[in-house]
Amino acid sequence: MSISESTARRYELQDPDVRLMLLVRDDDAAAFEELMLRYQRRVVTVLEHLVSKRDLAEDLAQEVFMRVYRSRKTYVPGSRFSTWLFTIVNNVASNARRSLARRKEVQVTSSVEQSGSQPANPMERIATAASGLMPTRQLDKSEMGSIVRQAVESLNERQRMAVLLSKFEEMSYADIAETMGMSVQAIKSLLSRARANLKEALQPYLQEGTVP
Amino acid sequence: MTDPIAHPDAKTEMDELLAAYLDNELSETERSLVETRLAEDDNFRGRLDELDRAWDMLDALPKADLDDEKFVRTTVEMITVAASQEIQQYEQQRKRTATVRQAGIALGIVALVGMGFVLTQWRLSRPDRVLVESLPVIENVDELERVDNIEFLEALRKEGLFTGETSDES
Repeated sequence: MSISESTARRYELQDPDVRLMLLVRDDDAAAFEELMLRYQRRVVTVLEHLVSKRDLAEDLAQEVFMRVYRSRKTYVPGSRFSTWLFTIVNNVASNARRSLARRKEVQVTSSVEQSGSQPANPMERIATAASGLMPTRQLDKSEMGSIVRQAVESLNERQRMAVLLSKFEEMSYADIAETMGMSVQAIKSLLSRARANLKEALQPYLQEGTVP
Repeated sequence: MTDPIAHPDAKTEMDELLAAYLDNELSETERSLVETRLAEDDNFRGRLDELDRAWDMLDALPKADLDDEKFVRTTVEMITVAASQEIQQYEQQRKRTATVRQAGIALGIVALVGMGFVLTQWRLSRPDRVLVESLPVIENVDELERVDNIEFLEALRKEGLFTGETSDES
């Protein structure tokens, strides 16, 4: 799809990261480093929750920035820079998941080291944790992080991506739709179901962060 | 407002509406209607509260703890290596293309020389060539038949009569 000059100009004026990317297009190495510094943690965070492996997430983040650099000469601002960047992130993550599924080397949906007695399904683990066998106590930060992470991993891939973009990138439905190549209505339904699923998964912990 | 026919499940419809409300994706009118219903409907308000609190719990998700400088450095190194490999591949491709082009030109020249040779041979061996060369004799065959003396005809040939030319000696 061609991008009109006025659209490109509008995004150039609105988005400082678009301006940086245009400098990258003109082979400004410092601008590229600046863009990486601005986005690398965000990209790694999203990828880590998508592929559930930290090392892999960093490798994929590097691939994302490599793709950004390689496509610099053909870059035309047709959206916010973050929308364009996370479209690449989504593609890279999808390819990685397909590759992992083919090789069956890694259980994509399980990031936390599983002990022998723990169920493999994140939803089951959450349910087991909240089964009432332990006395009520306040969750510490890492426990809460782990539980929420498992809840996120219990979402399907699309729901997870939409949640991460909405929650951490604060993207609008329109931007998420563009990033994921879906309609705005589909994103609306996707996020609604994701919120409902998260609520179900986290129900035992909703009362002030305590283990029931 | 969400179309109830398209979303027969009332709970799904309610969740979609509340999610869009929490995500600030409703129009002013829709927002106003939701807020009115929130004030009147305890279940509606309770559901909003649950969805919102579950969403807020996502703040507990661990963020990537990254060595920024190292990440930038290694990524730039990767890009540099990839770029130099691309340049090498480009150079190799360029050399291959140049070699193929030179070989093509050489083959073309050989083919042209060969065609020229064949054409020349063909022209030289044409059956009417003898007729063309003997045209003065053919034109005068009636007169020449009347001459009995071969030596005389030989002398005429040497004089260039049959080629339409005269020898230098004459």
